Amino acid sequence: MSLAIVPDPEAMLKAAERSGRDWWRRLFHRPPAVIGLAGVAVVTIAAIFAPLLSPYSPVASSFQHILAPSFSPGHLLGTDELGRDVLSRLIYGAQPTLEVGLLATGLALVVGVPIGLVSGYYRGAGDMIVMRVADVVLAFPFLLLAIGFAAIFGPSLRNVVVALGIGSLPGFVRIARAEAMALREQDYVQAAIVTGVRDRVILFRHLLPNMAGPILVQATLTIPGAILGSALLAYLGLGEQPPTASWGTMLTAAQDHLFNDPWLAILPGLAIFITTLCFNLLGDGLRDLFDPALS
Amino acid sequence: MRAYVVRRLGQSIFTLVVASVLVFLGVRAVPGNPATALTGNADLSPAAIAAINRQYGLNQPVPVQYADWLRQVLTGHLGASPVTGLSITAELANAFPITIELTILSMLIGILIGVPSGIFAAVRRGKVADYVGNAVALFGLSIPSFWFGIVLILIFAVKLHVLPASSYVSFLSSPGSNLSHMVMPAFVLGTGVAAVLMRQMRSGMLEALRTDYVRTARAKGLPEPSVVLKHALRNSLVTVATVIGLQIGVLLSGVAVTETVFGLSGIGSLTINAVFQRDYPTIQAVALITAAAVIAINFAMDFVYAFLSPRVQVEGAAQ
Amino acid sequence: MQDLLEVENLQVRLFDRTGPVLAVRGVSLSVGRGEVVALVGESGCGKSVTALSLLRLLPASAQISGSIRLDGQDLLALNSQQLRTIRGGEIAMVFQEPMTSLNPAFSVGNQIAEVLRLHRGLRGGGVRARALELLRMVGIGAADKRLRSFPHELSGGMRQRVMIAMALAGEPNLLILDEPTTALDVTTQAQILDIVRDLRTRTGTAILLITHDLGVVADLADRVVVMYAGAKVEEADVYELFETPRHPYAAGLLRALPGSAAARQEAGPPRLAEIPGIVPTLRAPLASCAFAPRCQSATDQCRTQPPLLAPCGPGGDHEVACFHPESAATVSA
Repeated sequence: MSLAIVPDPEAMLKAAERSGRDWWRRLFHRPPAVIGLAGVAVVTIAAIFAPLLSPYSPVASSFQHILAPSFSPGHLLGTDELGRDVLSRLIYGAQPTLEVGLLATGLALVVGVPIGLVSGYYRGAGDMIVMRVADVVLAFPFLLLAIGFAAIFGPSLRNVVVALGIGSLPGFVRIARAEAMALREQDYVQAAIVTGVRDRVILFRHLLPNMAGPILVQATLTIPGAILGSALLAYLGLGEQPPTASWGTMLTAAQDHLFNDPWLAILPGLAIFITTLCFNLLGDGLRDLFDPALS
Repeated sequence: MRAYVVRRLGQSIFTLVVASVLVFLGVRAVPGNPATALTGNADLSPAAIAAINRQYGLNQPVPVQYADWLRQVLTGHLGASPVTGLSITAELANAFPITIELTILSMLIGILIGVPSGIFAAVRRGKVADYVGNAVALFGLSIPSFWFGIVLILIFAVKLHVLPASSYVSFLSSPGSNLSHMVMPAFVLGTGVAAVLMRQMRSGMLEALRTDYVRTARAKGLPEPSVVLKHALRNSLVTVATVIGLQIGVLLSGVAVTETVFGLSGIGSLTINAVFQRDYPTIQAVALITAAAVIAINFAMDFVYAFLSPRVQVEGAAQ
Repeated sequence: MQDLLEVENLQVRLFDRTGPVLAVRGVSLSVGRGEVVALVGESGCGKSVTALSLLRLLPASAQISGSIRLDGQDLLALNSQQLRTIRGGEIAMVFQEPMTSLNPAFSVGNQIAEVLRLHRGLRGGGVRARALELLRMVGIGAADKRLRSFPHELSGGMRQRVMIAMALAGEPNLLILDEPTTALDVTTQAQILDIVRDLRTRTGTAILLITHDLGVVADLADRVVVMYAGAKVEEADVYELFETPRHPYAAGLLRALPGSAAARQEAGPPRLAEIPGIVPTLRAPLASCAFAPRCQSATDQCRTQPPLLAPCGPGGDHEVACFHPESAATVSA
């Protein structure tokens, strides 16, 4: 007898379960997302295993070998204006980039989501204050805020993380708040409230897990911005200080040698570009999973 | 409509006031002595500090200082920069036209490239043009603007000698030269805006093309261009307007860096120099002006938003 | 004389995430000039898809075969330009959801004017005058103010009237009403039905009425076509169907009406009769009767062979697709 007629509840349930588990597999079916994932993996490995992977120390300068071009003996990508190996500096440069990108986003998430969650759930005067504060933070252009912050409190990696984290806060607050407001109206939440479940339990067991998707999407949107921001601040001299190898600082120095050695400027920027691109590709892939309508 | 405008105006003013307080306190938050901050001089004898305190009224309670400062700002007295000795108002007046021109040109490039390509990608969804468009947009989003600028300088100024690498010529004195100086920086910033706009436009159009009212438009026998450009587009413009508003804030950040890369002495590079030289009075003035500009632009965008979407005034009340 | 609309063996295959769906499996029907034909069935039986395929408003991936003739012209063979003349001009459609079927960004007048300019060639002041006339025809008072209104300023009932006015603007020969009252409350429903009835008398437009509400059918229809799982299972004159439904499904639908004779016959407090089970989604062709799993009269023959449409009853225009159609006795009034 043809399966076509009678809907089989058992089969339908199994199909639903399977599709829940194989979102991982679905991600792999999209070439852009796979490329993004691969790129992110490469950068992460470079950052973690830098000491093992790079041929030289990133700060070992040698005045005999200044500005060697690419494919020179011993230096695949040449050396910079202080004789340091470019390849090694590129590999080590992944560290501050990832650190800042992930930490700043993490900071914004960990601080912003609870604020938005509580604000959206309880509404009222507290909510209005939160929204106005977010408006104020947003009134200052993201990067100028970070520049100002880093300038006032001194240039360092930690300050860059904090500055970028603060700049990324409103994004997470808004998402968490919007989700909280929407989820609050759902029947199962209303039921929980009416049966006297404690607020804290509602917030953390019912609302938070259901927000995971949009919050993850926001994170994937924030990381690339944080990476670009940290590179920018490093370029301006407001981030990690020399001699630490950072793609941004490499660019600053390279700008003075555009005539003689253009590759010195092209390579670090390319690294930033590719890293950001891969995070964006990965983010797009994840977003497609959660909201395929947008593709 | 009027109630909406009044409410938004109130919110904007409130935000502006809070921002001004933050700017004011920000300078006071700098570690060390306010007198040091204001004069930029770290080596001050106690007598000198006392004199400066008296001159700037630093002995008075903070709220009073704030009120004084606010009054001065509103009457146009922004003080003098301790670093350059020049009137801040004069410096700003010189820098403004450059930044404004750059911002407008970048916005134009962004809209002219981003909007049509977004519409095109939505209409050609799933086909080659769509994928190519998406790829290009993604590139535009991921590229570090300062690096892009450097690369462009490398190609067009250093290697090809077609465009100047830096500095600025006023439009009034020489339009051609002015534009040749502005082309690269505006393009750098414009492509960032275009990338965001293209994606937003595409997703907005895709959504609009799926709606019931577009189906009704087709059922009425309307030609496809009318369906796409009149019915669907009109409804996606709302989201796009919001994005443009947000992008202006982003653009102002980008302006700062681009001006530095291309050696343009606009507000952006003025800010960065001030930051590096610990020129706090200038930082204060610029921060306030920038915040005011962003708030004002957002308010204007809300206006446009309300005009494009008649529903927002009704639903806005429920916010 | 040839009928206005003749649909023969219409088959529509749609595609969803899991694969193909046989939404319409060989449906034939016709609508004569000035006639009101009701297309009845549960959600998912393919009636809306049938209607949308007449105007080719289905997604591009849909596969349509068969023949659809309007005044002898094959609609499926038209190119897009010719199709656009038909849409709104010869056949107009009113959709189910008035809330979302009107463009929120443009005024009501603007949206009606589009049709007038396109299909009636009106210009300038003539457009406004005719639009006002149309609004008044559907019973909208203060018509000149309403012309400037936006959809979100109107109630559901008003919006549906506007949709009807917009459909009539092109002066079509056939009006398709897809569940015109489902989204409205009962009072508004009655008003809309009055308008449709009135319009029918005044303009003589043929109507293809799609609905699952038998009350509406009784009110408006001349003839009824009952669909199940993408196929026609019964067709009859409206009086005949209500009095002597032959197909167990149609009979079941009538029995399920609150206050029906069957319900009253049972002892104890009246209960709503129901047909157990749900409408299946078909992905592969069937070698049996689609209704068999839910049918009380089903036999082995029903489960191994698809029944074909055959005439039954007096007169010549009552057909049913069933091996064991209900006899007049089991469905007494």
